[in-house]
Amino acid sequence: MKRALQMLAGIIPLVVVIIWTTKGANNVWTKNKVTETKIDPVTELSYPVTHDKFVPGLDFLGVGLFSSAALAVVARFIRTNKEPITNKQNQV
Amino acid sequence: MKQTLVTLIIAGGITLSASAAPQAFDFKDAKGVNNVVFKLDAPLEAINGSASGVSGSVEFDADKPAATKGKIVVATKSLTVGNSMMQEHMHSDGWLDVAKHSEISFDVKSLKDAKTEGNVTTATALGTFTLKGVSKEISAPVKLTYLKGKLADRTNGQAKGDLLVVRSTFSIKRADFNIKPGQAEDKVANDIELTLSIAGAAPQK
Repeated sequence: MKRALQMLAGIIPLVVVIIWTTKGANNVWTKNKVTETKIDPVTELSYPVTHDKFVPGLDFLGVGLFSSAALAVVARFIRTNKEPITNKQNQV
Repeated sequence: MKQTLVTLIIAGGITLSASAAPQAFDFKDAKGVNNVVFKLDAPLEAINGSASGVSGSVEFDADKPAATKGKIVVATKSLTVGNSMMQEHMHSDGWLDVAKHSEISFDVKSLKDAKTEGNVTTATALGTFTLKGVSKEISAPVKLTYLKGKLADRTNGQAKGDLLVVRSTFSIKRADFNIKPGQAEDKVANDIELTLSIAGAAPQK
């Protein structure tokens, strides 16, 4: 259990940082819509076209890193299930 | 001969009076091009978004562009931002209250300092801006471009007529329209910059 939590605490920040970086390293809030600007050929007006796309922001990064830190702290307080060393074994 | 001359004069008069009449341009846009972009730049956060639900009508006379008047309406629920949670907050009763105030409008009553060069008129529009049920007299610089006979290009020849393109950038203060005055100004700026990019159509009858 402890080992699993420690591994998760190590993996989560890596995954979060990789996702955040590859999705554009957006340094504001997470977006679930993105907007592109197009030009109407007749009127020459520029207009935004919005479509659904997940772009993680600093809040995504923060939640990921905080979760990882929380798991690391929890793992620290979990006891390992090692068999107690008896006096007999010590004598041997 | 005399009768022909009279007929020609009458026909010419009818033609002249027809061309001199102001045209009504309808700004409801099936192509989804008409838009209003809004920008708020607060010390801690910048918010950008747009609205596409534009409608309204403008009376424009190519011979007297200074006499232009009309009303542009934006559906409040069409205001969008990149983050859906932020959009919910923006539409809620605390901010724009979309349920109670479904429209934002600019009722242009007159143009001031109009200058026309070719098919382009620049002027200052004077009128009433209404947001969240509060109306305020404002002035805004506008650029009107009259595109004679260009409606056919936009409709693949299905409709003939003219287009009127309106561009304008101006600022309002949210506090003036009772949108949480004095609150959270470090994150949601009081100044809102609005950029209108809209085109209206006047089909031939």
